[in-house]
Amino acid sequence: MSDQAAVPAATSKPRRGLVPGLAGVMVLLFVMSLAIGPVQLGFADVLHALAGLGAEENLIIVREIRLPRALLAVAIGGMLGLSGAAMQGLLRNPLAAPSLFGAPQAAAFAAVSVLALGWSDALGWSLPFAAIAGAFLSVFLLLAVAGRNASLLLLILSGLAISALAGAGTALAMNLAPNPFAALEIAFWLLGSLEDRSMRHVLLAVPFIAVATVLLVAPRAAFRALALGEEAAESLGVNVARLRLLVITGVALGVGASVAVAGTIAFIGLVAPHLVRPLVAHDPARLLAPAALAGACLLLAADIAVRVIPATSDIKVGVLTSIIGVPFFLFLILKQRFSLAGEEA
Amino acid sequence: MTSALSLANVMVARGARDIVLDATATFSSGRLVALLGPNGAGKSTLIRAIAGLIPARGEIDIGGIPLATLDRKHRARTIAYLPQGHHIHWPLSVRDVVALGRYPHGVNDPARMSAENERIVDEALTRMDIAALAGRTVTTLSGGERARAMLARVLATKAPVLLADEPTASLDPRHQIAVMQELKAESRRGTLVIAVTHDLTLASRLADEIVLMDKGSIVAHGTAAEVLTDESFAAVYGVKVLRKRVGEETLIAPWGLA
Repeated sequence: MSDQAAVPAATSKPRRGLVPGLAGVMVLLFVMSLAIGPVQLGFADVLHALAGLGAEENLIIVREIRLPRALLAVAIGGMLGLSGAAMQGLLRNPLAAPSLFGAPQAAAFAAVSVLALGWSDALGWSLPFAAIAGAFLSVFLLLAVAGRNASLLLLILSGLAISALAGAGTALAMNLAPNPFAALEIAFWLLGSLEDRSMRHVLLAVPFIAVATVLLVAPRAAFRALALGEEAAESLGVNVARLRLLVITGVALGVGASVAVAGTIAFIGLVAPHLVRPLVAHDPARLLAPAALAGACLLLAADIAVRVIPATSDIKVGVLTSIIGVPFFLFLILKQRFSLAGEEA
Repeated sequence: MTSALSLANVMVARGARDIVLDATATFSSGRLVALLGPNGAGKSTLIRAIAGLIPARGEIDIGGIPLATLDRKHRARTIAYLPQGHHIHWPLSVRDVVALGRYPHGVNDPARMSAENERIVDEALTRMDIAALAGRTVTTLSGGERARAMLARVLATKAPVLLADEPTASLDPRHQIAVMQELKAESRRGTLVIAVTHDLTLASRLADEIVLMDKGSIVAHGTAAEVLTDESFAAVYGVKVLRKRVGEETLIAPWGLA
C-alpha cells in the first residue's frame, strides 16, 4: 500500500480569473456609479471629470458628490463581504453574519445616542467616532460576559444579548428624542445610506477598514484548518482563542467604521460569501478576497439601483439590501434544512 | 535512549471534577499502544492532555522535552491527533483535507505546496488507498472512506507521536481491520502510535502494548497476555470474556456480565 503511485493533481483550485473577473465587474459598477444619477453622464464625461477636465458642474457632480459615495460603497461593501466570510469561517456555519456578535447594533446605538443628544452636525466627527467606540465597547462587553476562552455558543448567546441591549438603547434614544425632527433623523439614519457623503467620511472609515482587513485576512489559512473542528485545528497549531479574538475585533472595527459613516446596511455580509463560495470549492480560506469583491459589487449595484428605481421618495440603500437579503436568507435556511434532511434521513 | 513519551503523575481536571487522577507510563518509539478502558475511564481526556489540547498537572515529556515548553507549531509537528467522529464542516476536497496535515509544517495553501510536501500528501493518500478519491469532496464519501481520509491527514503530518481517539468507531469490520493494520504499519516506521479502542480482539492481536484505564487511573500496562486477564475484565469492565486461540493469536469476545 505504501509504494508511490501517480496521484492525480486534485486540489480544487479556485476558478481561474475569479478575482480579476470580480475586480473587473467592480470597476465597471464603480464607473456606472459615477455616471448614473439625476444628471446622467457619459463614460467619457466621467473619465474626464475624474482627470479634472471638462465642465465645472460635471467636476463637482463626479468628484464631490458621486466619487465619495462610490468609494464608500466599495470600502463598506468589501468590508461587509469580508466580515461575513471571516465570521462564517470562524463559526464554520454558512448562515453566520457580521451582526452576530452585536457590533453593528452597538455602533448604531452609539451613533443614535449622539443624534438624540443633538451633538452631531452634518459633517461632525462625533457621530462616527461614537459608532466606532460603540462597536469596540460591544467587543469588550462580549468578552467580559462570555470570557476570553468562551465557547462559540456562549459567544453567540452573549452577542444576542448585546444586540438586544443595543436595540433597546436605540429604541430608548428615539423615545427620548428632544423633538420629532431628531426622532426622524435617527429613523432615517438607521435605514442606512451612502447619500450626501463627502471625502471626509471616506477618510474617516477607510483607515479602520484597512486595519480590519489586515486582521481578518492574516489568519486565512487557519479558517481552512478549522473545518476539521476546533480541537483538530488546535492540534495543528492554530491558536483558536486568539483567532476568535482577531475575528471579533476585526469585524467590530470594520463594521463599526462602516456603520459610522453609512448607518446599518444589512445582509451584504451574509449574501456576498454565499454567491462566491461554490466558485472557490467551499474553501473558507480562499473565500475571503472574492467575498470582499462580491460585497463591494453588491453594495455598488444596490446604491445604483436606489437611484434608478422610480419612487416618490428616496429609497435608502440599507432598506433595499434588507428587502433583497431577507428572502435570500430564508432561501439559505431552507436549502440548509433540506440538505441536512438528505444527509441524516 | 530517551522515551518517545513519558507521563508522570498526570492529572486532568475538568471543572470541579478530576477526570484523570494518576497516569504514569513510559512509551518507546515504533510501538502500537492500545488504550483500553470502559466509558468514562478518562481515555479521551488523557489523549487530549498528551496532545496539549487541555491543561494537565504532572509531567508529560515528549522525546525528553516537557510538553509545556514546546511552542505551538513545534508541538503540532511532534504530535498528530485524530479526534473522534471524523466530522468536517465544509465540503473540501479530500486532497485539501489531507494537505492540512502539512499545516504545522507551514503549508498554508494546498494549491501552492513545495514538491516535497506534494510528495508527502500523495504518499499519505496512496497509503490509505484513497488516491483515486483525491478530487472528491469529503462530504460525498462513505464513512469508511472519510475515516481513511482523516487518517491520511494525520499520517501526512509525519509526527513522531500519533494519537488516535477511537479511529475504528462506526466503521465496518473491513475498515476496522484496515485502519488498525495501517496504524500498526505506521508504528513500524518508527512512530509511537496510541489508539483508543474498544475492540478487544484487534487490540490483543495488533497492539504491542496495552494500557488499561479505569476511573481515571492507569490500572495495567503491558503485553496483551499480561493486561487482558479474566480478573482485569471482571474488575474493570464487569464482563466475562470468551477466549479462543487462533494460531499465535487470541480471539477475545465479551460473553456476559461478570
